[in-house]
Amino acid sequence: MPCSSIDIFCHCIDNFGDAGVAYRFAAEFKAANAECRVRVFIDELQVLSEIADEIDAAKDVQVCGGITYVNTLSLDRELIASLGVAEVMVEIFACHIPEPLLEIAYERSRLIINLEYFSAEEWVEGYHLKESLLGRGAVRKFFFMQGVREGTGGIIINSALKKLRDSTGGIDQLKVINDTVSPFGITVSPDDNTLTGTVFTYERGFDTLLADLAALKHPVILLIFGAKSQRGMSATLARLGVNGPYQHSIYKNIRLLYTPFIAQHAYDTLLCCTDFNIVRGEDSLARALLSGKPFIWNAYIQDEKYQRVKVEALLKTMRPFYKNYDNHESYSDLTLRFNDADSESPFQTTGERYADFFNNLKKYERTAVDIYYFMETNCNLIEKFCCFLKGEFL
Amino acid sequence: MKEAQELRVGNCVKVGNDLLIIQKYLYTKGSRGASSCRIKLKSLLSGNMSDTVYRASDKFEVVVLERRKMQYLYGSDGAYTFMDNETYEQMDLNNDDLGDALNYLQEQMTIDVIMHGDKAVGVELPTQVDMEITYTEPAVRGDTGGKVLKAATIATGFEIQVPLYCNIGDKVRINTETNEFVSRAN
Repeated sequence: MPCSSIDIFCHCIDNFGDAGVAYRFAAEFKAANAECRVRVFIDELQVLSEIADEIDAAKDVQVCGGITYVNTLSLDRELIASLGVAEVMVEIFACHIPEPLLEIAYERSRLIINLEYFSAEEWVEGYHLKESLLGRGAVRKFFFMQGVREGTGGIIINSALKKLRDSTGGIDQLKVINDTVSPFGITVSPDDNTLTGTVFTYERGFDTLLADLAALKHPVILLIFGAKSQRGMSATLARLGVNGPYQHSIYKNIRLLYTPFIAQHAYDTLLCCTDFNIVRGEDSLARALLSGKPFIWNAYIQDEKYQRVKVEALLKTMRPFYKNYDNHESYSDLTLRFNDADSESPFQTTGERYADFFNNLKKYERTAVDIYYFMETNCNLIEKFCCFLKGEFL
Repeated sequence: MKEAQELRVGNCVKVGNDLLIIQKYLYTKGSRGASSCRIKLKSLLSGNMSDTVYRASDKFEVVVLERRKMQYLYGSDGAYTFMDNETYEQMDLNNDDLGDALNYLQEQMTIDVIMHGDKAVGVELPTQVDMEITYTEPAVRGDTGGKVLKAATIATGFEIQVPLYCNIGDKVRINTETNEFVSRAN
């Protein structure tokens, strides 16, 4: 056991990314270190309860799966005194540890770790495990950088999913897909030759996506997740003359299903079962990288289209896994155009074309599988994190 | 107090009881506007170097140390000799003391040398310097927009990015904090 106790702090900025990473990190750390006391301090338990059924948003302090969850907003002097601090304090994405706890941590904790956002950029390796000198107490603070390069902290691997994939028979992909589409009264059979994909993006138009899918000769099922994707898809369908409501609609050979939010583990599993995935933000990108399936990443839109720098870095990292240079060129062009937006809007149309991607999915899948094996072998965040703690505490 | 993103090479910050001088500084834009800074610090008490990373919003107490105008005379075997413009006293600094300033240091240049007591501990570059391009690919006629950049080596051997229209022999103005081309200087 690398330490006796760990507290994880999370401030929810928007959507589920922050809470999702905190929850995932806590669960995987606990799975690897059963004897360690793990607590999660979060300012929006409601968000957490939506991705983890077992969490009760109404309870300020609760224990689920051996992990204590604390509503940060409920912290008062009495509760702080009874909770104390952990040996290791983790800030998810540089969120601030509440001041009263930080004051205690300066004297009683041994390490503060800032778990940073995922990035494929080269500079990440230079920042990983660098110290922030605090000049107070005995505690030391380090940056732990998520990334896809060996010299970074890696990404959080879903150990339960890995176990399932490694087991005899692996995942029953058809069952997972049918479990997802059956509430819409649909069943997919192996003979259908149906192409399935997930869509979870920032708000945007999908005009070229639907046009290129409509050009395929076989049926397509698109599972649309999240309000932003669904708003964008509804606007696109309206432009194409499809009348709402759009919860379950059909456009030519494409069936579009507005799928309710599903638990984190179910989403991770689904990504491994569809033919392709369109994902947004950093944590869903990490899931897509681990899915072994072709994917398109919608990066968080930043000023002056700075997201293109992030996308280019990812494409550069993925380049060595491509056996065919032309496919990488085509994929890069698609991904960069997909991310060539300066703001979120359902009316936004970017100039990407998908024909090469959809016509070569099997080739792209071979690359995706190679990336997955590399990530699993070289980029296991929990393993790297525990290794770092052991090094610090020896 | 200054935020980490406002610091620059040559600044001195107080961390605990230690005074630390910034020798290298790199600002990086993270995801969702969460930026961070990689800062190489030298302790004025122990002389130890630390390669650190801070959030861009982390706050520092900045300590203003005495600065003296000195002329850079010459460098040899990792020692760089400066002369006080008023007293003609000569002082040596080493590679670590100079940090990123080495990218722009040229003989005869007058520069602020930072003093801790009677000891020179670092230098502070002007925000902008004019430098001659010693090598770059030939200029491209007609491209005056300046948005597309190419690599150029300046007189110190440091490489920066300049617009396509720049040529060997051109003097260019460079922002020493970002290493970015500002304008032509001639």
